Order: sequence, then C-alpha cells, then structure tokens
Amino acid sequence: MRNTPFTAFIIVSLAVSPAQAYIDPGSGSYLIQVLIGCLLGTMISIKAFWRNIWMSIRLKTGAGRAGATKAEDSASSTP
Amino acid sequence: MLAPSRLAGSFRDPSGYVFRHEGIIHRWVAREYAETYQALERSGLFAELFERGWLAPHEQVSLPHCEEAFKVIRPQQIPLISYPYEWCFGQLRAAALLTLDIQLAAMARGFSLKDASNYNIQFVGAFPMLIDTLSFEPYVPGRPWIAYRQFCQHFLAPLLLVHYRDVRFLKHLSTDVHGIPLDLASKLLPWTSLTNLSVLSHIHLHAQTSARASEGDGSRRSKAHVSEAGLTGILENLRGLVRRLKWEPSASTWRDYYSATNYSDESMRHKQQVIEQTIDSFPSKPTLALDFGGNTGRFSRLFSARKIYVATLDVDVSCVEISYRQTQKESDRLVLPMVLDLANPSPAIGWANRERETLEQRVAGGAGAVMALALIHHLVISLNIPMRGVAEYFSKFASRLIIEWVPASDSQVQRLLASRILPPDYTEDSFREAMGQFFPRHTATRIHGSERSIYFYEA
Repeated sequence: MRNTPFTAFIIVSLAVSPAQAYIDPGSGSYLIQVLIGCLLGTMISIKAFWRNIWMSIRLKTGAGRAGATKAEDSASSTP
Repeated sequence: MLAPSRLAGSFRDPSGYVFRHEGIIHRWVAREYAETYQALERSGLFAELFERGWLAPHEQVSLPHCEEAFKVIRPQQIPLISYPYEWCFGQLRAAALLTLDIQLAAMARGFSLKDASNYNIQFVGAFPMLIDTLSFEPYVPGRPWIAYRQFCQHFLAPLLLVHYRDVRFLKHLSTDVHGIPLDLASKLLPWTSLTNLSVLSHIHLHAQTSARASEGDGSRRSKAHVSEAGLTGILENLRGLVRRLKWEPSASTWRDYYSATNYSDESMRHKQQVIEQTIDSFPSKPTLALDFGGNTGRFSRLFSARKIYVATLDVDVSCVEISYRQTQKESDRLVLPMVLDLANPSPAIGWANRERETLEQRVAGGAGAVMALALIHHLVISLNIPMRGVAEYFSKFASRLIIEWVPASDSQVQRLLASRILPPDYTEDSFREAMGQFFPRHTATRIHGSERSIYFYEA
C-alpha cells in the first residue's frame, strides 16, 4: 500500500480515543476493519434486503393463493 | 506500589486487578470501573454469560483493607491454571470461538471486549471460560473493535500456522506474551493461504497495513467508522474461518502405546486395580492430581472417577488432542489435558518473568498426588535425567507419588537401548534410593504377568 496523501489521511483519521481500553489496537487494524467491515456490512445489508423481498413475495403469493382458493371454494359451492 | 498480595501478572488493566486472600483468588474492581460494572449488571450480560457457562461466575464479598475498591468479587476458582502454549489445537480453537461468541453476545447488549487475550480464557476440564470479568467496555456503534489485532495475534495466527504448517507452532506462543506477530505469521504462512479471502484480509493485509500505518500521530484524531453490521460481519467471518481450521493427530508411538505394549489384558487390569486401591487408600480426597506422561488419560480417569480433578500432562500433542476430544465428548469437568515436556517444561515469562508462572509455581506443592506411569525409563535413559533429579522434581508438586518402575529387561527399555547406553545406575535399588530421599515411605506391588512394579511413595 503506497503512502499516498489519501491513504495517509485515511490511516491517520482512523485513530480513535479508547474509552477504558489499555491495549494498543494499532491504526492499521482499524483500517482493515473499515475495509472488511464495509464489504461484509454491505453483503449483510444486501442479504437482509433480498431476504425481506423474498419474504414479501412469499407472503403475497401465499395471500394470493389463499384468495384464489377461497374463490374456487365459493365457485364450487354455488349450485 | 503493588499491593502485597496482588498477583504478579495482574497489572495491565486499570479497571481492577487480581489478588490472593487466604489462598483464594479475588478480583478488585476499581472505582473508575463502577459505572460500567453497574451497567453490565443491569444489562443482563453477566447473567447471560454465567448461564451459558462462558464467564466464571462470581459473588461479591467484603474483605478487610479493601475499602478503596468499588467492589471485591470472588470468582469461581480454576483448579489448575493452564496457558495457551500448553493447549492442544482443539483447546486453542475452542478458546478462540468462545472469545468471538462472547464478543457477539456482548455487542447484543451494548458492550464490547476491550481485549481478546488468550490468557483471558481458562479451562475447567473440557470447558473454556472467560476469567477476566472486567474485560468489557461500553460498545459505541460505529467504533472499530479495539481487540481485533490482539485476537488475530493470540488466536487466529497460531491456529492458521498449525492448520497450514505444523502443530509445533503452538508451543511458540511461550516466546511472546503478545501472541504471534502478524508480519511473522504472514511470512510463515504458505502462498496458498493468500487464496483464502479471509486469511488474506485478517492476516496478510492486516500485517501490511499495521506495518505501514502511522501509529504515533495523536495530533489529528477523529472517529473511524465500522457499522455494527460490518463489525458483526467481521466477527462472523472470523468465526467461520476458525471453525473450518483443522488439525488431525497422526499415529504416534505414544498414542499407540496402550494397544502395542508388553501388557497383557490381565496385566493391564491388575495395574489399574493397584492404582485404584492406592488412590482409595488416601486418608483424604485430594483436590488436584497430576498425571505426568499421562498419554491419552486412561489412568488419569481413575482419579476423575473418584471426583478428583486431574491434569493429564504429556509431551505428545497428539495424545493431548485425543484426550481433549474425549473430555469434550463426555462433557468432562474433571480432566484437563495439557501439553508438557518434562525435559523442558513451560517457562515463567512476561514482565520480570512473573506474568506467567511455571507449573511448579502454579501448583506450589498443593497437588494431592502425582502419578508417573511408564515414564521413568524415558526420563532417565532417553533424556539422561538423573534418577534423583526426577524424584526431587516430583516432590515439589505433591507429597504422594504413584510411580511405575520399568526394569532394564522390559521390552520398551530394550527398544530404547537399541540406540542408547543403559546408565550404570539404572537399577531398582538405585530407583528406591533416589525416590526414598524425597519420599521416605513406600509400598510396592509387582504387576501380574509383567516385570514392572507400581510404587506408592509418601513424604
């Protein structure tokens, strides 16, 4: 990783004041967490998004199917 | 100035420290930690971790000369402290998974581990638990995990080195209390590890960024941001990676010992009977027994069957792994498998060589019994340790010794002598004389159908 001004900014800006901690976390560790966390957090969010879509579809399909069944039942019961 | 009874290794955390009072371990909770401690109690995190068996339960106590503490708590006592370099692969992996599980549970209740040291985990039998009650700080959503690098150095790096390279890397945890440095792990791992995105991220890239980052620039500070979902993703990713790591014990002389020895079934039964009768003859039940060279723990379990906590110590990590898997399968809380090379036992390490103790220091003569079966010939013939030295070493642990005499005519000894010279004083008389200098009283029983004898020595 080259020491470009942008990279330096990212690295230096990652310093965090620890609350009650006493170990040295290392700025590099924060950078990796930002990078990996961004990627994994995005994947989790995408998964959650599509899971919600899928659940909605299933509910609607289930509701549609229930409505169709009710209509069929009504039709069959009509003399 | 450290308090007189403070444990020498308990000085890093300003939130509190561990001390001994009347032989019992206690934890001093500093006033600075009061708010967090009360929040932890209110959140239910302590209760949850106690119920799961993930955190050593504690009770609040009142002791003299502790008025300046916010609280003093007495945690569940660990029968025998063990260190990560004395664990097999399975134990280190279990400790790593527990640390991640605790971090996830803590985040769910608004807290985070402020350190992820492998010394914070102890085993009670097969069960790992966190012993550092004060290891939590409030979780601020968006904040990176402060203990991430420590987790990678203390847990992930050594596990990966075993998975990809060699199980002997485990004992190298004793060379540095800070774990395996990321750059060293990165250099030692094979290029094939680069094809695993998780290993690439958590070790290789992590090592690169740690080496190049500005560590000392405190003049410009702002908040780094890792979303809660992102941090959860990191933890789950670490968890998945650690779970997939594997190491299988290979066939070894020791592990096959009990299936390829000079013992007949009758001899084995008699040996077991003699040891059982010896243990039953103790005037009081000991709280701890040590089984040196205990292999996979077959005879160690004669102690645990009598509700005596026993450590099975062996140099062969394959034996320890097999023994550990058995304790896991049986949910055993009384048998602790440990790796120990008697020719080179774990050293005292850390600051002033006092942060982590030798086994001798940890036991401090408090074991109820020491057992050394089928071991004396290896120590004296293979390792050239004087008989008297063996006796003296064992005497430091307990006043009772169950030891097996293996004569020169024994087939196992004959195998050793194929490439070694028999020491001139390797005789039963010399054995008795050496042991008798430290354990004056003894009884001896010849094992049926064998040339070996079981000696029971008492100081």
